[in-house]
Amino acid sequence: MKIAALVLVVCVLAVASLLFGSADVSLKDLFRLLSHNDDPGLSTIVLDIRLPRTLLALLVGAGVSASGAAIQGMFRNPLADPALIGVSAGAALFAAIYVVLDGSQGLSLIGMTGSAFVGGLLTTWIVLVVGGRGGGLSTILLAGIAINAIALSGVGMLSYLSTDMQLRSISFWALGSLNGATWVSVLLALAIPVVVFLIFLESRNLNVITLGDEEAEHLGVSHQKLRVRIVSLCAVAVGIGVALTGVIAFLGLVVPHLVRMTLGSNHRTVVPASALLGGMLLLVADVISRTILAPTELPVGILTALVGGPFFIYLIMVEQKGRLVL
Amino acid sequence: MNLSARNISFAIKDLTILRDIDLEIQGGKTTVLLGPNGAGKSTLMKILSGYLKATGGEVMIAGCDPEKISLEARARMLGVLTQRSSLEFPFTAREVIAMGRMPFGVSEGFDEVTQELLSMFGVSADQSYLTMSGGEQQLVQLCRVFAQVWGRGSEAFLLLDEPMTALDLRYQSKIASTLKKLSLQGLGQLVVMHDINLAAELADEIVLMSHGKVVAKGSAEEALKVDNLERTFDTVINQLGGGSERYFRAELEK
Repeated sequence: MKIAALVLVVCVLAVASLLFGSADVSLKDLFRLLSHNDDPGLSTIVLDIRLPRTLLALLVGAGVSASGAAIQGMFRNPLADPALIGVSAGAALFAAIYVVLDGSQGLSLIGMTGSAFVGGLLTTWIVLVVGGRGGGLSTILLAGIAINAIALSGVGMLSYLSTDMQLRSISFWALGSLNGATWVSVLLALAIPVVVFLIFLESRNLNVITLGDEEAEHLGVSHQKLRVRIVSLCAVAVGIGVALTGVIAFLGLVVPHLVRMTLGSNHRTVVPASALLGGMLLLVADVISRTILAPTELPVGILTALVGGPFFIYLIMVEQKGRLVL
Repeated sequence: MNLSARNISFAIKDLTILRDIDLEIQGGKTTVLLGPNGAGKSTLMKILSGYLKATGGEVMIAGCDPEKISLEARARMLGVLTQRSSLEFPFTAREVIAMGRMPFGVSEGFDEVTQELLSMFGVSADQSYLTMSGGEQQLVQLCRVFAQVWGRGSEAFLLLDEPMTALDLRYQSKIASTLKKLSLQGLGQLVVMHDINLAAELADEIVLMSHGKVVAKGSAEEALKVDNLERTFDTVINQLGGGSERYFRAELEK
């Protein structure tokens, strides 16, 4: 029921988002476009620019947030973030390498996205291999922190060595933006709902793993196998998202937390609700980011961090009030 | 159906934690492990449950090597309460207890077993686990483990590491009677506890452990003797009363 309500809100917001931007589009225009498409300018704005952007926001927001829910469950830590497994930093590093090594002026979507995606997966794999040696969750966390730092220092080094033009590309990408959304990027992002569904299928296992590795094993769930599956799925979902839009800060941390506070902790609800709410929030953030300073745009990653940070502090304070200190 | 351990030893690098432990848990019987902190009781429990592999000796669950039984099948045979279960998310009591039904493909919390346990122990089903006291949380975790073996009779075992921790007297007595009831249904049980007198009441067999070795074992009458207890706990133990009215307590250090 609650999920159905969220789906409804997502649909309404998706239609509403088509109306906002530097050019005015009214609801009447949308109906006109649907009934008889006779305005090529309107068609380009709505169908080629805003619709792919809306869909990309929904898909990327869903992937990052559902991954956040899964990573928090797996690490048994409501403060965990998908970035912990190194996927964002690895993607950022490889995107930066691509920008610096690519001599051409125009960066190709496939080249940039492909490098970032491969970088994200590769870094996550290194985190799993290095962290997995210790056997415990904390070693994976520590490996994630160390490899994140190494990857980000690599980004810093490349930024230092890059030309002004390249630096702009790197930092714009690192701040996250849906500006470059096209139907090709939407097509690539269609893998995200599949991965989110696969994460959803792990919901019961995620519930059990929150009790502890040993407890999960006694309930028939191998924590080691589950860890590899969850980290891999999240690396793909977040990797695709980061590769297409850059780093969207705070979404994967705040959204599942918000869902748990309102809808409880059962991952059968938390995973789909996080996906829907995450998509919704990224869509709203994108609409704000493209209208607040129109005709220029604020990178959406700045907005999600700017709003997400203080909001997260508020959530923690509210939560602590409702929790007994025992 | 038996759960047995033969010549179990366990070491981490040069540190020996268990040496030559022999143990047998029979269907319908309750074995209580008693011993000081650091005696190796929890490690032995982890080995018997298949979570840790012994460095020497063998464990057999119903005549099979636990490593050859799939995790799912093992979860239908063993209900295990570990000493430290962390739960940092606001699951409701119902959701936590229902996790014990997962090995049977039921997990939404509205099945008969979960409902029965909720009402039997008077647990408030929709209260968040995080807002419960330590004792209430322990009770919910116990109910989760009971849910795993409920109605399984001699087809399952219950391994409980310090189940009475943080429970008040009312719940201690309720848990003790539940263990007795499950035992009558044929369930084999291994319970680690610190209360010697409760152990005497519950156990068909008592195993006293110290420094990774078995100091004494047998029925309560055989094993619970002042010299055995003093060797086990390395402290002065006083016995009050005699026969079935025996009561043990540690003498206060001066």
